Amino acid sequence: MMHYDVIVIGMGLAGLMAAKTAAEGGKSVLLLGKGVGRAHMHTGCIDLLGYYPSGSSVSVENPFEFIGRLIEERPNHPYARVGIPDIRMALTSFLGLFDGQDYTYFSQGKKNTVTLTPAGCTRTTYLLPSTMAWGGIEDERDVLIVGFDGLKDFYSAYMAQNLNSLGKEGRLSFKARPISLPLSKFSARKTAPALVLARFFEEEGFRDRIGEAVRAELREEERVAFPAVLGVERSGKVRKELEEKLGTTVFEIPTLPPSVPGYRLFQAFKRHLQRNGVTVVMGFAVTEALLRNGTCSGVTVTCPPLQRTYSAEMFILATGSFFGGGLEAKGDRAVEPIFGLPVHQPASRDTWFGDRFFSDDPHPIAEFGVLVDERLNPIDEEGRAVVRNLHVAGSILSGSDPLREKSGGGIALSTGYKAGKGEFH
Amino acid sequence: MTKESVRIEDKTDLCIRCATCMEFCPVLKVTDRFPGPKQAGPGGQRFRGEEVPPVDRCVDLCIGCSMCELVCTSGVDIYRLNLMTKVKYYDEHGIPLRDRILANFNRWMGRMPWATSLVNTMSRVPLMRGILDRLFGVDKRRPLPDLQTPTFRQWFTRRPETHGISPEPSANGRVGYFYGCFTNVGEVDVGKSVIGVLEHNGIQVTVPEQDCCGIPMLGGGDLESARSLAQKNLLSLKAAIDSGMDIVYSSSTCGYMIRHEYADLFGLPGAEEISEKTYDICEYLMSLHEKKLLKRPSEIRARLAYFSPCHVRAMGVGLPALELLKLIPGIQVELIDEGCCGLGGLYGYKKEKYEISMEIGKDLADQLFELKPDAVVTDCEGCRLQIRHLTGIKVVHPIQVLLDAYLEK
Repeated sequence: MMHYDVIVIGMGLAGLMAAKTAAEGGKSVLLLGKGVGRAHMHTGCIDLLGYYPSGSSVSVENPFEFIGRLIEERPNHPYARVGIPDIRMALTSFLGLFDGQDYTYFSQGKKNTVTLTPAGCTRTTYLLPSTMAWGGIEDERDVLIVGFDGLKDFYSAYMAQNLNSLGKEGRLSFKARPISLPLSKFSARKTAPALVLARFFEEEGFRDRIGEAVRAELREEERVAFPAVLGVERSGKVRKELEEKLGTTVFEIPTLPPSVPGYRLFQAFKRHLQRNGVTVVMGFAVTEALLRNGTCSGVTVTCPPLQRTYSAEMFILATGSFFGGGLEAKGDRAVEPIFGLPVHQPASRDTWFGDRFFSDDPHPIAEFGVLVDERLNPIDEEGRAVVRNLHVAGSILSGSDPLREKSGGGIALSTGYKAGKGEFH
Repeated sequence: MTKESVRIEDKTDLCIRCATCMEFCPVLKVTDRFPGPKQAGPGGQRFRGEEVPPVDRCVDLCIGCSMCELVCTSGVDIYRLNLMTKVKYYDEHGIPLRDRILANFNRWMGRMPWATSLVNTMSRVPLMRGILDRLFGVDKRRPLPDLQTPTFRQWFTRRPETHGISPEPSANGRVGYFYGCFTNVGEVDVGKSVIGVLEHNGIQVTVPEQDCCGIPMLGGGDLESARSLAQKNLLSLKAAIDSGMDIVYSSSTCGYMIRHEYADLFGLPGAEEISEKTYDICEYLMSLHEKKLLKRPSEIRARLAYFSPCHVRAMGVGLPALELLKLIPGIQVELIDEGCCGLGGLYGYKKEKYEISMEIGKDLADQLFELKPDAVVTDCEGCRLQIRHLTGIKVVHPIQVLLDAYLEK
């Protein structure tokens, strides 16, 4: 039986962050994920707190100010469990992943950024990849939006039309104009997923041909938006070279998932973890936890036909919510399948959802999850410890509604960080 | 009906179409002739059935790296779906003669060492390669391995000496070594190094009767040949285990087949027991290290790049070779964990796939050219052949590095 100081279960943002923090604390770490983790499903931006209270129609300008309020008003919220100092430390640690690289993350000081979506709407976020700089709504310069015939996850015409209707409502002060380049004219392929197209952009020849074609289409625009496919490993350089070629600002817009910025984020984490000696085992589900007297001694991974048991001093559960598989809906109960932790939820299934899917009212199911104490140890409804050497992080935690709050990334990073620091009882 | 009573047997339905697998597919990365794992696997599955003749030949372009399955968070067995579709296709259309010969080539050569020099000479004659290329579709740009005599098995059964290191009394256990066809005829030195390292650590090694593990046939869609080889190997491996041995392998590809597919795909009786007692050589040595039984290697100075093969990833044991290399003082090792090398076993030998194979390997080659290591280290013979062909850099098995460190005075 292989033994580690810490075993992290889950390879999304929270699990990656927990593994990083534990490894940097000198622990031997095993990171287990049944798949690659859901970082790929996200835009690559890190939301901290976009709306508070969560149903509010006006977005938050300074997230830390509102997190302070939230901590006072909602003591069961994951942010209240972590506290502002550790939230800040978590973000600093995350930014450290990109130290000295040409692809980094930035925020506008302490403020949120309102940025553009591929649907031509706006969204509020906190940390953005450097390739998305100048894509905020405050910028008044007109935008040329470049799409590709053959890239199925980004439609420039759709985006431009929606942005221009926002403009007519007076909510934006720039105009958008779409073009779409046929991929087959620039490569041997008719279609390509986003990551393949991103790899093309790493080639100088391809980049030059695209640059020429876009420059020929430019009119008055001083900004050019591309889908987030500007390179994989050298995105900073790709973007800079396109800017030089076009003589305009160039920035990326997130695409539909799976997203290239999500892939870059995952790769940055994975490389950092492997350099720090973390063992990464992907592709197999943890099917059982060995529990005795409220302590976990090991977890079993099923790798057919074998069952392998790994032991550790401390465990971190970061398996996500329903989407990631950390919570499962079984008939009329939501359960946590590995440790069988108590899941905070209403008594009856009738109250899981609001009446309408697209409603301004919250769906109670969004706040389902595992209850924890201030050390992120799981507790039951009466506040009693359940598994002493287990910490819980990420969207499996109860007490927040990340979709409405726009807080998912911040919760994942900060709870992952705190769990990885590992405060024992 | 309670919801708990519903069991999803067909894992296709678990697919949520998130397309994460499409990001990681090495074939889709370089060609749009392959629709990608999502479309070919759970997507295409909706149009297939027992009675429906298989039409989707494109699945033949799947290289079999299983990355799609490993990254899938929903637990869809995408690689397996594609493999079984390939099997069904070839069942209906017949296995091409070329594929049968290629799959058996190293296996046959192991049995007729007398023919080695003739085959070596012929495989270097451009006219021969031209004929093979034109008539059989074995791409002439792909170098054929240099076959060696005596074979590993011949060496082992005849040897009086033990590779420069005198054997310790077998204090630490006995193992049966599954060397595999390619070690036997193409990289005898890997086999010798395994014996050298194990004996140096007080392990007594025998080589059980063995045939090809069956993975070259399986990869070409020939399920039945693979199954009969599996049955054959199971008998001798079981006998070895029953006599108190563990089984070790140095080829991650053979190892994956024996450890996982014999039980999980073929469901052969007794296969699970074999799985439980079969170990990757580096994994086995690391477990000795954990028990403080592994001898300390001497210092050797080298800058290495370790490339993680697909089948090592698919075994779910982490990267034991990398851990092992890190135990050697003076070794500086950079991990390259970027997916498939592009060879895919016999895939890269086939004329219609050679270019895809080389294109997949391009990113890896570029990284290695940038890194300029003294040598590349990897557990899989396929990866070693491909990296040599792509870069010309020296490529070795991790066990050869460890033996060098033991031989260093």
